[in-house]
Amino acid sequence: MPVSITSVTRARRAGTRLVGIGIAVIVALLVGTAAVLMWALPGANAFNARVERIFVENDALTGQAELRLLEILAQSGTTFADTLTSYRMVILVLLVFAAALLVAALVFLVMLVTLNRRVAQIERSGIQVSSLIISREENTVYLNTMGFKLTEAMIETLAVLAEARMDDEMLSGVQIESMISGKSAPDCDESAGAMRIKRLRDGLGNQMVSELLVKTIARKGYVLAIDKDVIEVV
Amino acid sequence: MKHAMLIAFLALGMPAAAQADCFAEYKAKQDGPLRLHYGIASLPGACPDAATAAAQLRPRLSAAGWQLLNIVRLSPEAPGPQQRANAGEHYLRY
Repeated sequence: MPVSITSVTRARRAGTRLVGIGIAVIVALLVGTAAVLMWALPGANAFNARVERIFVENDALTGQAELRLLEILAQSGTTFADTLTSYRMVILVLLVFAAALLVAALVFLVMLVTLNRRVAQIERSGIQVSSLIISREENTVYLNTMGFKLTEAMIETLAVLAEARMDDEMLSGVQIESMISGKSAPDCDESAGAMRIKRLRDGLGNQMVSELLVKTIARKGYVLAIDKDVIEVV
Repeated sequence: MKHAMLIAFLALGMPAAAQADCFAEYKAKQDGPLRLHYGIASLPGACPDAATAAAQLRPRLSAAGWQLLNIVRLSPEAPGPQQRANAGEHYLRY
């Protein structure tokens, strides 16, 4: 399915671009707000400087009471400047929170990209088995959510293979035959084990293909169970 | 009236004595917390220009921890009661 893979790659590239844009936005926001905090908000001495200018520019402003009033004005300005400093702290804290949220969003974007990649992998490898349940009573094997009805002999073969896999072992045809039939290994035939494997493959493969690819619709006919956009005849 | 005439007479008769002192009205400040003051200081001799007066006054004020802001007026005559009241403790202090 080359078409499908291409689209996934494109989506992944878009995701990477989104991450880049996200980083750029976070950096721009932090730098911009820090600049505003540094330069735009008045400093603690701005009010004193303003009061001093008023004092210097007005020659008539010389009375004792007037000077005291000017001093009080400057002091209240300084108090307000302290308040502004605390506001600045609050703004900085909010900024940090916002940055954290943005980073979290970015992390989710990265996760999205990783998921894209995994979906692409899964699409390439066909079927990814995340669970295999063998039910001896029903003679059924469940692959992920799909159930396949098998004969007793096939279930037996599959069970033997599953046990060997859990022990990280490999089985030869002779071993399979001897384990299933109960006879000792020298009495068993390699071809008998191979035949069991072939039967298991045929039975399970046939059902899997009819479940995943060539579907049978009862009393109607057969249809390919895939998206028609992915079909390409060369 | 008699007093004023006497002053006028003295001013006319002794110009050198009248030029002995120059009264400089100035404004100064202290930082952190901001404190302002209006004061009058006497400069020896005839009244100089504002820049020279400021240069003379600045070290005298900074010795007491004040920073000169500007010179308001230079006058060879003694300031009036209003200015004297406004200057308060800073009248001829520095």
